[in-house]
Order: sequence, then structure tokens, then C-alpha cells
Amino acid sequence: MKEVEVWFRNNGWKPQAFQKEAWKAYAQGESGLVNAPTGSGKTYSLLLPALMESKKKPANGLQIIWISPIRALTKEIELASLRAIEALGLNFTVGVRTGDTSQKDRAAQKKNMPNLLITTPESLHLMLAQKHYPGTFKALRAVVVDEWHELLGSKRGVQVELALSRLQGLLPELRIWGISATIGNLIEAKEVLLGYGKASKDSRIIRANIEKEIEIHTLIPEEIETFPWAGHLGIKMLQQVIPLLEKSSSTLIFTNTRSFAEVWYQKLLEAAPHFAGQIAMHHGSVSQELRSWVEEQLHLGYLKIVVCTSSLDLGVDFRPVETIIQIGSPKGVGRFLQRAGRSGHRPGEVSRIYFVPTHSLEILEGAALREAVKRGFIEERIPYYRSFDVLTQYLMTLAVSDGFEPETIYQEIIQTFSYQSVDKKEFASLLDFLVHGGKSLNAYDDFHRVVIEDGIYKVISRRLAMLHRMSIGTIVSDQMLQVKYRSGKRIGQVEEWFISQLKIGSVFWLAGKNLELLQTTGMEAIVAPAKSTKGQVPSWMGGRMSFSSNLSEMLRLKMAEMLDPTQEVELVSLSPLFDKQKALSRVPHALQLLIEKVESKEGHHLFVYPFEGRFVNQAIASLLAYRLSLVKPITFSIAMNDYGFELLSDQEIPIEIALDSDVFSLDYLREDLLKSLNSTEMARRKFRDIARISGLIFQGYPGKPVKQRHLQSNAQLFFDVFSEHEPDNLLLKQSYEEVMDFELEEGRLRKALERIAKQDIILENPGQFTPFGFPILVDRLREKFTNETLQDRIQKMLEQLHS
Amino acid sequence: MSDQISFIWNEEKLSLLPEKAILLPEHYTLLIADLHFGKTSHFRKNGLPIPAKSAVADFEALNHVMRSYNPEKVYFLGDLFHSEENQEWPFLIKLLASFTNTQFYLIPGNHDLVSIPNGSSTNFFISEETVQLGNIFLCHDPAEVPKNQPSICGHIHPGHRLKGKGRQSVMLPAFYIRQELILMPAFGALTGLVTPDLPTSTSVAIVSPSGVLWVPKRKFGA
Repeated sequence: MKEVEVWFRNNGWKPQAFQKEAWKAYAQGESGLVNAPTGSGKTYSLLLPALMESKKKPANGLQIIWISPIRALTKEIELASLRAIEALGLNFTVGVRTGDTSQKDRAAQKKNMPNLLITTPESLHLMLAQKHYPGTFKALRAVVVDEWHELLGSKRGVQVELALSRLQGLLPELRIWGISATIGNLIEAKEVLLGYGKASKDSRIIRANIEKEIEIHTLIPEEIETFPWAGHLGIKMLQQVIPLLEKSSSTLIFTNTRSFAEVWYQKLLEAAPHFAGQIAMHHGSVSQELRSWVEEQLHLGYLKIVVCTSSLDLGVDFRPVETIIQIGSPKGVGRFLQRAGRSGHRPGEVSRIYFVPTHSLEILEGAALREAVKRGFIEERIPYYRSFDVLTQYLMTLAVSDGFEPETIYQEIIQTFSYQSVDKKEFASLLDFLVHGGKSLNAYDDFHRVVIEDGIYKVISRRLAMLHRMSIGTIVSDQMLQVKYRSGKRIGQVEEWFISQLKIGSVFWLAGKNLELLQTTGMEAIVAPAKSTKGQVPSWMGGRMSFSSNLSEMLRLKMAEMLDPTQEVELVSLSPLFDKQKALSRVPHALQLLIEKVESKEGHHLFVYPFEGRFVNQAIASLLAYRLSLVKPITFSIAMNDYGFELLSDQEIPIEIALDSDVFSLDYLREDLLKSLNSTEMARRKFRDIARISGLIFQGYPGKPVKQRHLQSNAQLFFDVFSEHEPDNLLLKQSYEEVMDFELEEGRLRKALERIAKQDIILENPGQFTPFGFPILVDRLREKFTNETLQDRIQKMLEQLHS
Repeated sequence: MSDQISFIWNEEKLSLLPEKAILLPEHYTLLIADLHFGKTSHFRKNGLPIPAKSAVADFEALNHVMRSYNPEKVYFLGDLFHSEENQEWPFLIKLLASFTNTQFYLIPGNHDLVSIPNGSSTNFFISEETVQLGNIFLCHDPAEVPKNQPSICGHIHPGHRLKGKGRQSVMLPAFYIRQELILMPAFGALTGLVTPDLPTSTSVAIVSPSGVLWVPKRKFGA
């Protein structure tokens, strides 16, 4: 590594301890995980030893695969590696392969693979779906998975595990490296990445140990009395944000959703037109070309402000910006820190982040975040376990390329973290599902998917193979339409349902532009710049995130501090709101659980405030709903946020009786939760993604012939027919397990109930909605619970219409 | 029977049945729309593993409605078959043949890609796309009804969302009735529900577990 050190010195860089350690470990043939933050030189900690090894032992073809979670990053890695290759005078080729790579480039790659391929998990799986794929990987030495923490808690992480299991099966000496930001479960992260095969035997975690000072400022609304009790957008804070932007040479404004980014961008330009030309937008639905342009302009220092979403969370080599602004709750400490780290990259510099609350109670989160950062609380990323949908997709992938021999693949997958406990019977039933489509009724059944020839499971239908290749991936979204100008220039993409409800000539916003819809053809929406400035903002579907347990704990702490005299600026500013809450109802201290009962025109409301984060609150809500329904058959509409939840019913809610019988008890917890699942739609909703990933439903393509449309269906239908005819189906069961693990978070729920068991329950009748309850009440995203018969419910609704 | 709704429409007597069918008693005729027979096989044949058993439900339902009303004529208002010919087809022909006193007519819909050579079955025929029965017309797609003629159609798979206190709601198959048009619910089990875009003056009758019920304030003729 002498040449490398010379190159570093010539540039005025000094190799850091973690880089040197990684270089050595890599050269010794080890595998492992590098724990280093963005901007620390983590890329070169693994890229350089890989390049130097290739210099020593030249080979043809693909030698290193670099997996990146997002396309935007692939370009940066490419540039970083080209820089090193040039400086070190290497003869080494680099290529990028993502969903954006053209057919032509792919074909060229197939003929002549670059030595270093930068790609995504989906594109790697697509390579496994090609005929004769093992040949492509002959000379492969190592796989590096960048931003592994980002992939770990998702099904894309499972995809990586599966691809690595296959590659290790082909190449027993393969080295596997990950790069991860700091998370609460680094050791587990390494285990999941390496699996239980050879790579895990000789492996280590290399820590960069870079401490950074972080300043957190909460923007306190000037008039707390008129600041809204509920909301997500925070536009009221615009006038307070603008001075920050004026002052700072460069700012990233993070919003939680793409729609909010669009709105903030528009409103900023309206309020401060002189920013025009210096402000841009960056989110996942903006076209790749535009995003690259924004990144480049930011890099060159031409842009003053970029409004963005998590699409800019990651990144290797961004020139640091001066100021970070977070609009609304970041929901987790790790995400907040990562964003804060976007400013003041250089050692010794301070990272500065401004938190902009979008409703009153959210101000408290600023204090909670600061406390969590002070204590060094960072969340774990929970890996998916036994995701049969991803496994089904993977088996199909292998079946469409060269076919697979079940025993070989079974031995490989049980080396992975996700599938370590899958037994032969379960594997056999998955195979059965692929070959026979579950239980067959009669001899005439002509189910065709996977066929067996000489013990090899393969797909012979070219049409099925093509359909499968088109649908590889675990990111489930609605059908997207490309938005383009007549000239063909791409602006971005929006969901089909959004365009379908527009009329020709309607105006909408995308990528900060006002666009008039001219026509839609197949998968494209043709637009022109609009004169009118009033347009609709697309809302891209997406789940709501929940507070992490760390943040919830800090929030409860700050809530309790509200009762004592305090100096903290957030807490001081909130006192008028808490006075109102106290006057109407109560501010609970740490040993109290507050419940409020309110009757309105809508019906009977019950508000409960466990302050446990959205998901656990939902779990407690489901449990409470189920146990209340044992008192009498009842139907609820359930809403929740990170603070608490609401049960709304047309009938009086028998909470007093339920409290007398210990309704929050831990006894029969799992049984009751499972029963409550049958009365809500949570599992049904999970099944939507599972059905799509496992290939149960085929997403139709508009403009395709009628025959194709006859295969369109929805997951609801499958959920119903499976529930009725094949209740033991593995994919159906998985939807229940995912709800238990990821939505109801049984583990966290148990801890929450243990805490509640020690609390006094305070039941208040405030007579009107309180500052705590109001944000929950107005939430439109609701869960249903019912154990009344359909006939009774219909009868009641018809009677209400009569009266 | 209390679980069905009967009234006079364009001088024809008709009953909306809880089996999601319409009976025209004076014509001894039963109307059934959108069965989508063979959807299961079609899916399975194309590698989508929908449980094979789900195909049985529609056979049972058809058998049941036939035995309950014993009509002389049955008109299928289109989309009897989901797609091209498949293995459920001979089962259906056999089932229909067992009702020897009944004549079956298929008014073709957009999904009916099969052609039955007339005469291959003794009591099952393909009719014109529009059929007149007394004062009314039958056809598949409401967009293609004869102008200014009272018509009964399928195609839409209509449903109605019933709303109640406490933000409750439930979606149910429904009949939509206007002066010149009736939309029938889909008979097949593997079909979805769509709220049709119709003027608020339209009367709606929902199909509940205990029978067909008018949705208040929208009762036809009231």
C-alpha cells in the first residue's frame, strides 16, 4: 500500500487508523464490517486495498462487486474509484449497473464485464436471472456492501443475504465486506451480512471512532398560542426559516415526504423569490438526470438551498453544507444524526442542525432528540427474518436463469441469517407452491410456473421468465408513470392513480415545476410548463414511520420534566399548551397513564397516551380494542400517533368495566394480539407487499393487450381465497408474523405493558378535545376493528340514515 | 320472500335477489351478470398460484340459484368466462346441461373470448349483444345500451359504501336503479367492487348477508 500512502500524502491527506486497519485486514483475506460515518473516507478504506490486490494479481472480468442501496450513490463511487485508478496508474475498468442502465450498456457489459461493478441489490438479482450467470462471477474476489445499515432493516437486506449465499456457494473463498454507519446492533449487522458460512469465520468489525460535535437548535414558533395543535407540513414556520437560509452559504432542508418537499420548495420561492436559481429539489421521484444535476451543482457550490427527502440521507462525497434543517419529526435518533452529519464534514468542525416543528407538541421532540444524542442512544436496525416472499422470488430468479437443484440451494440459504431456521418441510412446501401452485384439485389442473427436469427446477415459459425479470425487487409501489416534456426530457415520476384522477389540462407540481398535463400514453405523461401557479401536489404513497423506542423514552422523560420548573427552551415555550392541557384534563407524570373520554357528534372517543411511538401505540390500541370487544360486540375506528391513540365508536365504550378487569394485563398477550389481528386489517395490508414480492400478483401494464389485463388482480382477493381455502399457506402466515414483529413489535409492547402495570391509570372526562388528543383525532390514516356481525353493522348504519 | 326486493320497472315486474341476480317472474327469466368463470384456471395456467379450490364456489352458487328459482330462461349479461377456453369450461357446460328445462343465453361481454359453435350444447346459446325482453333491453356494457331504452346491464361490478357513525363504513355489492338503467352486481366470487359514477338521484339496493335492502332516501320511485 506504499503507492497509496504516497498518493494520500501528495494530496495532503493522512491515512486514518481505521483505513490502515481495513487495508491490512482486506489484504489478509478477511471479511468484515467497517463502521464509519459519511465523509470519513470509508469508501477508500475498502476500495484501495481491492484495487491494489488487482494490481498484484491481475485477472480478466468481474473482480469486485460494490453494492449501493441507491442509484444516486453509484455515480459517486464510480468517480471516487476512477480518481484512484488514475492517480495510481492502474489498468482497471469500472462500470455501473442499475435500473437506469440502458439496454445497450447492459449488453456491452454482458460481453465484457468491468473489473469493478457498482450496482444495487435488485440489479445483482437480475444478474442471477441471466442464463449462464456463474460464468460472470468466475474471477470475483470480493463483494462490498455500502451503507449496509440502510439495507439491513429492509427486505432489500434479505435480497443481499440471498445473493451473497449464492455467490459464496459458487466461490467459497469470496470475501464479504460491509460499510455501516453507527447503529445499535453492529455485531448483529455483521452476522447478518456474512451469514454463517466461511466468510464469518475470519472476520472483524473495524471502527472509525470519529466523534463529532453536534448542535441541535429547535425553531420555536414566535406565537405559540396560534401555532397549530396538529399538522405535518410546518409551513407556518416559513418566515422563521428564511433568515437561516439567508445567513447560510449552503443549506439542506430535509422533509419527511416527497409531497412536503414539493410544497416547501414552492412556498419558499413564493415567499422569497430572490432564491430563484439558487434553490433546487431532490427526491426519489425526481428524474435521475435532474437529481444528478442537483448533486453536481451542490458539489460545485452553485446551489444555496436544496429541499430534499431521505434521498439525500446517504452519500459518500458530498461537499459538506453549512446548515441542515429538519422539517417535522425525524422519528429516530440515528436518522437525525446522519442528517446532522451532512454539515461540518471536516474533523473538528461542528455539525449544526435546526429542527422545525410542524405542530405544538412536536416542539418537545427537539428536547427529546438533544437528550438522546447527549446519551449516545442510537437505534437498532431489526433485520427481517423468514421472509418467504423474498425467498419465493429468489427461487423463481434461479429457476428462470439456469434452474436450480433444491438441496444445493437449501444448504446455502440455511447459512443466511434470515433463513437459518427454515426446515426441510417448509422448503418443500415452497417448492410445491412453485411447481403445483399449492394443492391441486384435479388432474386437469394446468398450473404452469416451475417445472422439474432431471432434478433441476426451472422455468421454461419465456413469457413467465420475462414477467419475472420485470418484477424483481422488494420495493413495492404503485404503478409509476414517467413524466416527460414533448421533447422527451424526463422530469420525474408519479403514481398512476394520481395522474388518472387529473383531467387533460390540469396543473400539478413535480420537481418544483408547474406542469400542465397534455396527454397520457401508456406509461408516460406528457406535460408542458404551465402558466397557472395553482396546481395539485402528488402524494406518493408510503407508510408512516414510528418513533423508535429510544426517542419514545426520551419523549416520556421530557414530558415528565414539563411538570417541574425547567430552563430548556423547548419546554419553556410549551408551557401555555401544557397549561391548557392541565386545565382541560391532566399532564401525566412518569407513573401515570392518562386516558380521556370525550363524546362528540362523531360518536364516543377514548384517548390513551402511552407515549410509546406509533407502532407500539397501535399494538396497545389493538389489544385494548380486542379486550373491550369481549365486554360487548363493538366496532372501532382507531387512530394513533407517536404519543397516543384514539378508539372511536358509535357506542359507549365500556372502559370502566375493562379497567376493573385489568385490561392492560400481560396475561394471554400473544393469544389476544393474534385474535385482534383477525378483527383488523393489518395482516391484510401486509399481504399486499408479500403477494407482490412473491409474484402472486402480476402488476399489469397499461396499454397491454386485453389478455394480459385478465391476469390483473389484487392482493385482497388472494388474501381472501387463501384465508378460506389454504389457511396454512406460508405467505399468508408471513403476513401475520410481519405484523407481530414489525408493526405490533411484540417485544416492545411487552416492555410497554410492564411499564403500564406500574402506573396509575387516570381517567378524565375533559368535555372537549385536548391539546394531546387533537393531533390524533384529525389523523385520517385509520385502522378498523370490529367483532360485530356484518348484518348488525349494516342494520345500524341503515337506521342512522333513516333518522 | 322478505330477503328480496320486488317492484315494477318500466311496466315489467322484477325482483332483486340476494343471490346477486334479477328475476323477471312474468318472463320466467333469471338475469346473471359477470360470473368470470375460469378466472382461477386462467390465473393458474399463467403461473399465478391462486388456490384451485376457489373455483368451486361459483359452481355451487350457480347451482343454488338455479334450484331456488327454477327459471325457464337464463340470460348471462356478459363476462361469463374470464378469458380464453380452459378446463372449467366443460364443467360449466355439464352443469348447465343438467337443467334440462332451462335455456341459457350468453350476451357476450368484453371478457368472453370463447366462441361456442351453436349446437355444441343443447341448451346453451350465444345471443346478440343486445336482447329485448318485453319492455326492457339486456346488454353487458352500460356504455352500449340502446338509446333512450330501459336497460339492465352488468360490466361495472357495482358496490356501495355504507357509512355510519364513528367513521364506520362497509362496502357491499349493490344494485343501482334509475328510470332507464339498472346496474347489476357481479355474480362471481372472485370479482371486486366499484362505486359507479351515477347521479345522486339513483336508487341503491345493497346485498347484505340477510338479503337485499334499500339504502334509505334513495328508494326507487319514492
